[in-house]
Amino acid sequence: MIDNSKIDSLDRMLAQPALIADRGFSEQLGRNLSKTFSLRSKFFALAGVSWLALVLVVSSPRQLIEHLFSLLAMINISDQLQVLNNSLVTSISAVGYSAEPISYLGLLALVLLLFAVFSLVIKD
Amino acid sequence: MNTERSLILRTLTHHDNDAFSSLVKKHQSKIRAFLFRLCKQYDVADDLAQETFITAFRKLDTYKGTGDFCGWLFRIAYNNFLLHCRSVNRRTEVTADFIKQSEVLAERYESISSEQIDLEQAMSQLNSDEIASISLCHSFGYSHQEVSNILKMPLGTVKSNINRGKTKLRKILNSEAQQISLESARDR
Repeated sequence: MIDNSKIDSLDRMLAQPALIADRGFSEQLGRNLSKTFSLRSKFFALAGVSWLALVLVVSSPRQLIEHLFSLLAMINISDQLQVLNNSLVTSISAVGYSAEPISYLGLLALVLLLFAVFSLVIKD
Repeated sequence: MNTERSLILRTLTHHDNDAFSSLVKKHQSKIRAFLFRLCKQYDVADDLAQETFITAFRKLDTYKGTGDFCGWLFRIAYNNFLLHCRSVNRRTEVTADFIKQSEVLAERYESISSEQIDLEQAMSQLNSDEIASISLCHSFGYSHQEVSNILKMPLGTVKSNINRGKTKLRKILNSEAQQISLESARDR
């Protein structure tokens, strides 16, 4: 006689799925996650430093450093950005480049750098 | 109390990896079992499961919190599986790979009966849409409508996948049962 018990109990069998054991899966995932985010942090840090280097190349390094020090002494972020923007425009105009687009690049560099530092602080 | 919602919030607000690890530990076995049924290869399923959880961690802020979190993970897992199929394009080869690996099946599970091994092997003969629909509906307890949302398939397609898949499963298990009864009669 044919054993039909398996067929009749299909729904019951389906309702009890065999679950795969962890066996290091979670630990491996934890390692992969930290690797992914440390890579991301490094990428942002590198991007920030690269932009800063670019700004240093196209503007006067001495002036920029002076302004960075003055930025640290200030509290209001909008004022800082204004001062940096003005200084970049002035210094780049002195070099003879078109001042406006490069000043925006400078601002972008600063934002990227801040984001890079923030990313490192938060994730690591 | 570490409810799922609080773990998600802790991951989002404090970038708490331990909270996310708790979520992974809670759901990994289901996600991996689902992906194994679809991929029919343990290593591929584990790689896709890793990708699924990494994507979930990155996109956790897009999880609206209205639906079931595990359902959201199943959707990411199924999307990853479809991307994998498109990139490798070997949907037709997987059955043979599964049969090769079925010997080590029991070692991979928390616990598995011979009946469940038979079911997993029978499942491997269905197509991926049938496997996904049946697994989500009958094994992981989602309604037809929820399965339709997770798989982004029309409700009617989900229902017909389930009916067709179950008919196939009955046929496969029936032929297996017939074979066993014939063999035992021969032995007598």
